[in-house]
Amino acid sequence: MAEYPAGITHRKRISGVRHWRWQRFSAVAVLFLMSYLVIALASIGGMSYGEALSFVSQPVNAAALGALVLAGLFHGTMGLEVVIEDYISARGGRHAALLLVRAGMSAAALASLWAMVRILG
Amino acid sequence: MAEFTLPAHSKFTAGHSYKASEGASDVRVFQIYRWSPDDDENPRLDSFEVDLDDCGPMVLDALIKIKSEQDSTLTFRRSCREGICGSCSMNIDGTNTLACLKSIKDVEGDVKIFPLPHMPVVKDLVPDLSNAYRQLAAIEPWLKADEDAPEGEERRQSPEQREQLDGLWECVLCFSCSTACPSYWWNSEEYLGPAVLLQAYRWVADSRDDKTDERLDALDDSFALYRCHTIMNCAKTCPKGLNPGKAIASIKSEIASR
Repeated sequence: MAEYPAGITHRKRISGVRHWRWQRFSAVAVLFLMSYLVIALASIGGMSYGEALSFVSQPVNAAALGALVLAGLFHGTMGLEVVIEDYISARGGRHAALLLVRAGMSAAALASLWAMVRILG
Repeated sequence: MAEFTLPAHSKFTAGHSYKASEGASDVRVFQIYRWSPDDDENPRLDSFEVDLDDCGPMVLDALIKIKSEQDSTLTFRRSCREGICGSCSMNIDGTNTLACLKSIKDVEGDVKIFPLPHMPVVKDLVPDLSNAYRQLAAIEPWLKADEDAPEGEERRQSPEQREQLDGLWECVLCFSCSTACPSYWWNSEEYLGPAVLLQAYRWVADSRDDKTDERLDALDDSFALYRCHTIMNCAKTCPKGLNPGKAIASIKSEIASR
């Protein structure tokens, strides 16, 4: 394996294929799960609050919504990482922004899953 | 941070105006970016009136006429004047292209000419392409085979293998594509850019080359390759009608399928 990337001599190679591959996997997952969400929201539209809670509590719906939260936030995190890497060239600023985005997205994921657990409970 | 505005000393001002000769019958105005490293002045936009009835059809013809008849200090690169050498790449009417392939009649109103964007300027319409050439050298754009060619023979390819190189070998390395690419604007030190990546794929796709894996290894880097976000300015601007974005996608696909 080449140690240094073509045209770059000041740092070693950072493979990009895994990030690229996961962007595509998560995009496909989000596409299917968002389609499900649109259908689910259309069903919930006519329900009372209690009925809607009970709809979300069903294992299949809860699993799909949980998967959507995780896949969506994961996909969004990777997208924001690319934006940050594109536009922030200062090393310190780039790392700080990446950390901030990952922490924020993780907090959003935890909060969403906690809300799901409360509904299930 | 990426810079979204020009630095103060790079902003251009109105420049000199040059009139067409008396009796000119079909006058068009060419507004041309001028900057000289020999003084401390900001760039300026000079206006040249050109009589199209006494000028060849292409923008390069007008530039040569201006240099010959109106201002001999106007500086630009040119050589073959038929789209083969790639020397006269510049930004004409808002698009990077070759001046020798751009018809004056295809431009409405004044013809505005700037050097290739986001590159250091050597003088007037001449950009400094040192970084792009350094990156081209880095992908080692030559055949690397484990064995010598058979004595007195060529390295043979089937017609199908040869077809894989179509759309790649035609590149004249004018760098119109790389300098039209926002990803290259922001990260040109590390991102190889569409022109160099198209050249890289030209050797990856060559059936006679034995170093495909090594080439893909060197390209698999989050900045050298994966800054391409398929914006596709490269394919839109290429004066030879090539599609560097597709070549980059092919490199990514080859790496992912290993």
